[in-house]
Amino acid sequence: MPSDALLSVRDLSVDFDGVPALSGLSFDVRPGEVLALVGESGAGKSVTARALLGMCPRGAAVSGSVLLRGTPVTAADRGRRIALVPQDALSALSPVLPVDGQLALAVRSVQGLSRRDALARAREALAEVGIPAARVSAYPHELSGGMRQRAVIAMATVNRPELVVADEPTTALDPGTRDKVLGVLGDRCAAAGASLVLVTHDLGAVGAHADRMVVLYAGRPAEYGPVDRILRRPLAPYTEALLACLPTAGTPRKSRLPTLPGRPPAPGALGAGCAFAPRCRYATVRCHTERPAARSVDGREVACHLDHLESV
Amino acid sequence: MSPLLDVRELVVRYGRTTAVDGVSFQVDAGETVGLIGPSGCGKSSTAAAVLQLRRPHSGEIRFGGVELTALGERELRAVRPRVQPVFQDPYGSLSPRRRIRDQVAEPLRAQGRWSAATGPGRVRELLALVGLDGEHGGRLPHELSGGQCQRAGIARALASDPELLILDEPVSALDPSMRAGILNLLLELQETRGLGYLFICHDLAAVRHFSDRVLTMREGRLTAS
Ligand code: SF4
Repeated sequence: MPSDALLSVRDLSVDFDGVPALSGLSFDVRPGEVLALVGESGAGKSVTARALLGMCPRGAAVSGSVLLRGTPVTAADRGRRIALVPQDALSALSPVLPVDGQLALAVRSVQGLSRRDALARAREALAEVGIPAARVSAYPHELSGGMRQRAVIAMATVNRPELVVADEPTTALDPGTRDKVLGVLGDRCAAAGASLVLVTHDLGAVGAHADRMVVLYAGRPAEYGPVDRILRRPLAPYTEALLACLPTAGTPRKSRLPTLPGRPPAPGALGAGCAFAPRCRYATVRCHTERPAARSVDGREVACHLDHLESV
Repeated sequence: MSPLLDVRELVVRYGRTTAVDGVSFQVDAGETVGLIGPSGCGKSSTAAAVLQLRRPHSGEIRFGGVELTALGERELRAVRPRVQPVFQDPYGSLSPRRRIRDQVAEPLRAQGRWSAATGPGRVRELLALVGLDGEHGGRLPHELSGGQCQRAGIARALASDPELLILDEPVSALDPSMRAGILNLLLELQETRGLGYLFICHDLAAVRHFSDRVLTMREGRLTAS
């Protein structure tokens, strides 16, 4: 295990009433990097995000470890050392306070500034995420979705956390503003010196904003490594199939795109073998009976039995 | 032959702001015209004007040779079904508490084309056209996946026998495989029914792949692309 990891996740599993939602996830987040957690709906991305923050709901059985600089994340770390940017900005903001006021409260509680200095710092932080000075005292419901998410980004980064976890931070926004808001998120994390875990189903955003990525399928890691390598040449059959669905410059105009046959397995419906086996074009008998362990191939980790991976 | 949709010098204003400032373009039957540009550039206002949700300030919108801006509300009612929208959020554009088959039937009822004898069969046909079956028809929107829900939205649009679909970010909320499935479905419907599409989308790769021509909008105007 590299000792330079900021966040170190080992064999993380989450069960709800005995039904596994996430199983055997391990990865590291290095200081200052953007790590994307990618997968389709139901792949276990949001469960992972919650587990990183130690925020799994009651009734969830969590095993494995999540260490921030070697120690488990506690409730006291949230909002200080580790911060969340959720999909729904309104859930992260108080409806009854103007945004500069609530940011100032957060600043005061952590940095112990005077009321005046905290408000000044809050307004500065709002300017840094691109909220115009005339709007800093607006209430959350008076702001557009994009502006609200910017305010949440200011809230998450103003206390200079070590890690920001963003759970589908732009999915609820107008597609035209998504890329700008992701840009602001990346910039503010970089300015705060924070690493970013970006949970998303948008592979375009991953290519534009992330350094390394974890691909999840049915609650299990399929591939983990540098974004440029994986996007250029995916090795796990699931990653390959997922990327094939996206048109590229070379795709003939108006041609039919490949799709994944069938549907992802329902939680708890996984057999003994590889979770992707029922939909995998390379599946062999072994794939249906034995779960593949992660192996290091070509600078990444791939969970797949395929022999040809060795010869990459 | 005149184009299916012929927009000339379209101007749309909201109070004193000009959202669309003299835009002209055509869409032929069987053709897809992609419309791209930053948010706030006037794409959605253009779409709203073509859908007759917003009266233009000036300019012409000809659909099938008929100039729509000159029509009264009653005459427009006859044209509206022929231009149908498909929106981004498949859950938001369907009513959460009504079964899929009832929502697909709704345009048939509203247009006086429903009968107990033929209606249910027509709804089954429409669902089959988008790859859903009777069992899906009996469900509520939240009981379907995002992709299936978007298929239901397309079936409902098809119930009006439209000639032009305004596709406003129809795949932006979907996972890659579902996205590809919806784009394939739209391509197939276009080939078999000669539908014209105005395709608003933020994903450049998808727009290039899916469109015959791409128009770029900026600050209310079309820019040379
Ligand atoms: S282990 Fe087998 S089924 Fe699973 S991804 Fe690899 S080849 Fe496909």
